[in-house]
Amino acid sequence: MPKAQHILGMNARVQIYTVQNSYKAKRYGFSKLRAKHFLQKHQIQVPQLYAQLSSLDELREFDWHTISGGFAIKPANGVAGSGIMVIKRRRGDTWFDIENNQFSQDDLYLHASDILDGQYSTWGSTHQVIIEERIPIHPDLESFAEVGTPDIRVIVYRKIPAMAMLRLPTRASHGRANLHQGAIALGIDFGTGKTTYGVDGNTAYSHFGNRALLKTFPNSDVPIAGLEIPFWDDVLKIAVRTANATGLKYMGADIFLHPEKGPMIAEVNTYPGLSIQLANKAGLRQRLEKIEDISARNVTHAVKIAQALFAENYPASSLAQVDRPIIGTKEKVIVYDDHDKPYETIALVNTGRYRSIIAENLASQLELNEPHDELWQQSVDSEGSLPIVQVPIKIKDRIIVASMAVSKRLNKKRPQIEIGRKDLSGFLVVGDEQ
Amino acid sequence: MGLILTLVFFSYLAVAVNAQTRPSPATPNASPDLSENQDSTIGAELDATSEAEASPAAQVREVIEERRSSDLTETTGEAKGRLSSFLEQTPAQPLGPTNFVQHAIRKAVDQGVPANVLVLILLFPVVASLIATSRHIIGLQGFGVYIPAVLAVALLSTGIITGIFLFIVILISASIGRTIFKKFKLQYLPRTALVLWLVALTVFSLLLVSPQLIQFEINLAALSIFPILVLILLSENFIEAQLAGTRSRAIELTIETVLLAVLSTIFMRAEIVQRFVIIYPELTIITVLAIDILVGRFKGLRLAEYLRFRPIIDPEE
Repeated sequence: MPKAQHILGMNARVQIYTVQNSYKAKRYGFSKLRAKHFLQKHQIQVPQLYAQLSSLDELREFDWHTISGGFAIKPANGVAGSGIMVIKRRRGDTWFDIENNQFSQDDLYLHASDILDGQYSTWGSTHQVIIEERIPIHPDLESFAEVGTPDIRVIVYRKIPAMAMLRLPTRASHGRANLHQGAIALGIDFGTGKTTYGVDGNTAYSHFGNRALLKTFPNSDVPIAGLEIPFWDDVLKIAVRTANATGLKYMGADIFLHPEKGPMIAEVNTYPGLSIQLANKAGLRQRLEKIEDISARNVTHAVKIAQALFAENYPASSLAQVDRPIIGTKEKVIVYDDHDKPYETIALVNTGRYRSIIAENLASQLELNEPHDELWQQSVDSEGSLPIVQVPIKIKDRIIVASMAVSKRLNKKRPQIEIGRKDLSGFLVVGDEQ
Repeated sequence: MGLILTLVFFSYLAVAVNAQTRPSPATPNASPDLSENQDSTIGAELDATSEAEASPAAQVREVIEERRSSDLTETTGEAKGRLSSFLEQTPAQPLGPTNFVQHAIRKAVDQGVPANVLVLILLFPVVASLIATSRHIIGLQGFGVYIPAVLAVALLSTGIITGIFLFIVILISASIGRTIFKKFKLQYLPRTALVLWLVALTVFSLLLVSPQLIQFEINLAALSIFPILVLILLSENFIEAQLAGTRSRAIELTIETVLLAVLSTIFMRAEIVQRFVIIYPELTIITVLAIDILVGRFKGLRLAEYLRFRPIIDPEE
C-alpha cells in the first residue's frame, strides 16, 4: 500500500508535471484532429478518419450512406468523452448505435450540427466534427465489456511508461470508457501485462463511506485479477512512441486494441486523471520520482525499464496465493545466462534489502553485464552508483526476471546473489532454525 | 464565462449605486448630495400614491424596507450608514505609509462615495482568495472562482434563504426545460434560448405570487434583476456540468458552489469583517496577495484527495 506522500494529487500534477509540457506539445491534447494527422505522419497507428466537417455546408453535403460499417461521430476538441456517438450498423435509412438506439439521418445531422455549434467543446472557437472508423472489440476483452469498446490508458513520463489501466465501458457509462461517466478501471501489472486491482467510476470519485476496490466484475463472481492484455508490449511501445513524437513530457495515451491491426492511439491526454492510482493500488508520484533521473536510449529500452521498475509479481490468481512456495534464508537457485544456459548456485534470501543484488564477476561470467544490458544506474546502499541489469532466475520452480544491482562487494563473498523483497512477493520466507 | 459574470457583477454594483430609490432614514452623512435628493422625491411620490392602498401592500413595503436596510449591496439604508458612522467614530491616526489607503477611504466617504461599496469591492478579492484556498487545500471544487464569488454577492443581496430557494426553483425549471426541449430536435442555441424562456417564465410567475410567499420567510418582492440573472447563469453551468459528466457529479459541484457562496456571504455580512476591512485596507490587500501566492504554490494532497485515496493509502501513516 502506498503512503500518502506517494499519491499524486491535483496540485502536484499541475505544478510539477503538466507544467513541463510546452504549449506547442499540448496542442495535440486540445485537438483530436491535429493529433490524428500528426501521429499518422509519424507512422503511429490511429483509427481511420472517414471525414472531417468544419461547417454546416460541409455537413449538409455529407452523405452518411457512403460509410460502410460502424463509425464514431466526435467533436474535435471535446472533453471526457462528451459528444461522442458510436454507430454500430445501418439498415436502410436507420442507424443503430452501440446501445441499439435508432437514429434517422436527421438525428445524425442534428448531433453533428450541435458539435459544430460548440455544445461539447471547452476551448477554442472553431468546432469540427470527426467521423472515424469504429474500433471493434478485441475478442479477449469482449466478455468483459457490457457495451462499447474498452481502451487502455498509459501514463508516460519522460518517455517512460509509469502506470496503466484497462478502462471497460459499462451500461451505466453508456458505452463510454471514461470513469467520470461510470466506466470501470483495472490496474495492469507492467511485468506480466495482467490486470491486478480495479475500481468503478462511482467509487473513484467519492470521498466518504466504506469504499472497497473491486475484486470481481460487477454483478458476477469473475475475479478482475489476471485478465491478460492483448499486445501488451506493443501497447507500451506505442505509448512511448507517441510521447516521443509529440514531445509531451507528461501525458496519458488512450489506446484502442484493434483485433487485427493491433494497438492504435485513440486520444492524447495532457491532463490524465488520477483515479488510475486507485485501480493500481499504487502511488503515481512515487513512480514519477523513480523515473526522474533515468533516460531511455530507445523505445524498447524505455519499455524494458518500465517493466523492470514497476513489475509487481502479483500472484495472477487467488490459487497462487494459497500455494506460495516456502523458501529458507539460503536457497538453491538457477540463473540463466545470456544464452539461456542454466547455472546453479546458492542465493541469500535477504528481506532486509529491497532490490536484489548480484556479484559483478558472476554477472560478467553469465554475460548479463554487457554495456547494452544496463537498464540504468542507481545508488545502492553505501556502494555508490551501480548498474541495474535484468537477471532471469528460477526460485523453487518459478522463473522471474529480476532487475538486480551489479555489485563488486559480492565478488569475493559467498553466496554471490542476494534476493531482496522486490522479488520475493510470491514466496513465503521462513527463517532458519538455530 | 468569467468575464461575463464580472461584467454583470460590476454593472450590478453600478446600478446599485445609481438606483437610490429610497431615502436613508439613518444617514448621518452631513453633506446630502443632489442626486439622492431627486431620487428621494421620486420615492416619496411612489409612497404617496401607494399609501392609499390596502394594508397588505404596506406590509410588503415594510419587509422590503427592512431587508434593504441590512443589505450591504444597497447604497442607501443602514448598512451604508453604519459603516460611515463607524468610520467617523474611529479617530484617524496621522497619515503614514501603513494607513494611507484608510485616509483615502475617509476622504472619499466624506465626499459622498458609499462606504459599503468600497468595503464590498475590497471584500470581493478576499472572498475569491477564500474560495481558492478551499479548492487547493480542502478540495471543494465548485464552478471555478467567479461563480461562487458572484453568487455570494447575489445571496448578500437576496438573503440566503430567499436566494437558495430561487436558485433551486431556477435549477429545477432549467433541468425540466432541458429534458422537454431535447425532444423538439432543435439546434443548440434556439434550444438553449427556449430553456431560458421557461426559466424566465417561472421566475416571472414566482414574482407575481411573491407577496404570498413572505409568510414563508421568502422575500422576492424586493429583488433586483441582477441577482436573478446571476442565478440563471449559474443554472447554465449546472447544465453544462451535466453534459460533461454524470448528473450526480453536477449536483455535487452545484452543492459545493452554493456551500462556498453561503460561507462567503456569511463572512462578508459579518460586521467585524466589514469594520476590519475599512480600518485596515492596506493589511487586507497585502494579506490576500500573500495567501493567493502561498496557496498557488502548495503541492501537497488536498484534504478531499486524502479521503478519495484513503482506500489505497497505508493506514499506518
